[in-house]
Amino acid sequence: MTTKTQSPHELTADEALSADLFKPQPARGDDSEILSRPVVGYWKDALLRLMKNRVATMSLTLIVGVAAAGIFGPLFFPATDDGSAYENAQNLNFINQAPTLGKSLLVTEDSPQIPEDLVMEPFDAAAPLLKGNSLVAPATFEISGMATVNGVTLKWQPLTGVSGYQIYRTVTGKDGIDLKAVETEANLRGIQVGTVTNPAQYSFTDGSGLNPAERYIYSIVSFTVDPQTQEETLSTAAKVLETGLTQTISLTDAQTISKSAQAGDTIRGHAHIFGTDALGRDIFSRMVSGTRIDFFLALLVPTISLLIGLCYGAISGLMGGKVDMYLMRVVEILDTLPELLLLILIQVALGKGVTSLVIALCAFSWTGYARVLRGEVLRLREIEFVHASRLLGAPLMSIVFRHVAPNLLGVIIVMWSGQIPRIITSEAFLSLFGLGVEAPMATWGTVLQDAALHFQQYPAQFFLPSAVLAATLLAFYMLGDALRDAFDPKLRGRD
Amino acid sequence: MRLLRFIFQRLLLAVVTLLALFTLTFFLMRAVPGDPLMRTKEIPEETRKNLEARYGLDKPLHIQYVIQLKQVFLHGDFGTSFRTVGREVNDIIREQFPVSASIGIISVLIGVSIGIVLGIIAALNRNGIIDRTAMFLCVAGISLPSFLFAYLFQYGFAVYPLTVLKISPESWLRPAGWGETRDFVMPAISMALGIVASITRMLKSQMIEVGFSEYVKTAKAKGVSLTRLIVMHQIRNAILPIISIIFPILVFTMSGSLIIENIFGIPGLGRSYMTSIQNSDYNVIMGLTVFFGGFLIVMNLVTDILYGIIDPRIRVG
Repeated sequence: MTTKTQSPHELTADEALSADLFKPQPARGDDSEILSRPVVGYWKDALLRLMKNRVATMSLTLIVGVAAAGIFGPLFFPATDDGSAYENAQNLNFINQAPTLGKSLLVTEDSPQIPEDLVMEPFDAAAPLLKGNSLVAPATFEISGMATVNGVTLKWQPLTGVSGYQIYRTVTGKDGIDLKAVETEANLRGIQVGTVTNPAQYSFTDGSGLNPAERYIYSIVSFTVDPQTQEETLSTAAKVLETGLTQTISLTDAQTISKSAQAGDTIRGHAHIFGTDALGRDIFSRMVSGTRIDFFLALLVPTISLLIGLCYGAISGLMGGKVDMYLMRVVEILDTLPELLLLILIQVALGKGVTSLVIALCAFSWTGYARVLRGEVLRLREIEFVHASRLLGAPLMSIVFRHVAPNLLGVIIVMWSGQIPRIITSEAFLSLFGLGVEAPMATWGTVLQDAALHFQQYPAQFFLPSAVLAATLLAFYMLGDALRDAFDPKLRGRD
Repeated sequence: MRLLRFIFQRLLLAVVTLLALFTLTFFLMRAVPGDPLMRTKEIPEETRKNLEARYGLDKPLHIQYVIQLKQVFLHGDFGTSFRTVGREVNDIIREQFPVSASIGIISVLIGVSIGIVLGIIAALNRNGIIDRTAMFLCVAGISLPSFLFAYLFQYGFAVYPLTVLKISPESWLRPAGWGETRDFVMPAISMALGIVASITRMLKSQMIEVGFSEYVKTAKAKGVSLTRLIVMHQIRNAILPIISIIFPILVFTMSGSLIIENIFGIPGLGRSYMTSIQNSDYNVIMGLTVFFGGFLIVMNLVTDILYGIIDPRIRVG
């Protein structure tokens, strides 16, 4: 058996690999490691994500707008005659006004002359005293001069044979009251504003409790008194008239708006876009200046709570063991207490005021931070990059500031921003119970409290400020949600 | 055995919490300016001394503390009101708690049932128009305080229809009042909104999470019908965590109705609490605070123990 061994294959010239097929790869230089896109770190990523969120940017714009109004708004408030704050200036001629952009006002002397009630001999022939068996009301009944908030002077034709006249007043529009109804139904005449016991008197001035925002219906009836029994008989018929009031402004007040104002001029008053309250204060300016205190509280309280909670949580988490257990038991106990009740009790005990509000609101809100931050500290203490850093010999401070703090910051920002709307709500809640700040000072809560007293008659006073409160709370809440999404990628797209 | 230890630990904590609440309330009350004997009319010195002796207010503070501590914790007796002579605080609680509790329970019932339905619909209709509307309402329900809704309803449902639309008051809701079935409507709804919001949100996210789980995938792969899949697998599992938050919500609703009771003129514990604070009526304040706190603590305890039984992982080791 022969074995045919093949001789080693000789490479032909074609097949041979020539050296020049192998060229060294040109040096790659340094650009392979260069990042061609901008580096997006944790913070930048969070910011970008936040900016991409349309709801978040809208909320942020609204919050910044409200804050700016609070900071700069009071600079544009009109001057008051005694130099006090405009939002606290009361004007009893302008109570409970509906929202207005500025009404035209008649300038009157500072102490307006209330016209005297005039007497005239009874005009005999004009009206028969008795019509059938009943008394008649005066034949004419009208407004004399101008009806203003300072006084409405009524004039009528006096009768003979009567003992006097009674004058009633009611408000138009309430419970279906109109001129016709008042004329026919005696029980709709409203309050008695005057009794004239001189039958010869033919005018009467009603000047108490007039509200320029209302229209009034006056009615007059005549009455006789039986000399023996002293029994009063009223005429069943009444003469009625309806009037609105001309808006007036005193000369001093007018001159704070326009220096050249003179008595008798007509000038344009301040705009009250939310109307005025029961003391004639401008509600919009009270809201604007209330923003200052509300936002101050809303920023300060979470910050103080955060600092307390951070220290507490860090101590608890870092010490561990028994200390940790006892510290956390204290937090647990505080968390189970009825927060709302104690909030009220603390506020009552400390008295009204911004300082006591801060203390009361902080008293319970720090525990949340303490609990969460303790957990975070425990987690971060054992996390690999902290271990690595420690092994590499990094000083403690550098571990805390380079590794622990930035990782806590996301959680902190989310919690901190989430607490803001809750503080604003708590302030409003306490104020509604009359436990907010001292009296003339304005906060959103006190504005609501003032309006809540008679919100059934003047709902706008309550609901316009409420709308501002609600919009701000919604904006804060949605911004907080967006921040949570931005800082915690795991939570994205949930809910 | 471990469960017993867990319950014992919790009980101990509850007692300590109640003690802390008692102490805190006692000293906060004493720090309030004014005392329960202060009236608009000056009382003669002699009468005042007698009254102080009768109510034990003449004794040093720490003695008063010990006396009341014994009264409350050993006998469960909160004493009598300083204002309404002879009115037992225990009677106030006995009469008024059912009022507060009934509104709380009704609003939780309304809130939970609407919340569950809305949550399921929102989850099934993800990103649809119903879902988006529901989610916006949820944000409003969670972030806006219940008193805003209360005032809104009071005006929109009662004051406006009665005064402007002239609906006869007999056949319609009253702006304020108590004693009839219709008086439940507005307070219950204003409190229920927040509950609806939180339940809807939670259920929706639970539904979505369950939808991604392995057993739902398996069921789908096995060809289970869609209705069965949603009802038997998704909803049943998503609702479980909801059940566990109902207790805390119930407690919160019952004690959080302070302002609602004031707005709608409901003679519940919230109103008594406010008047007692305004009058520095020590015993009533103490009674109501400890009662509310105790209620909260007991309910939390019950919830914790139930969790412990249902889910062994939660038991304190």
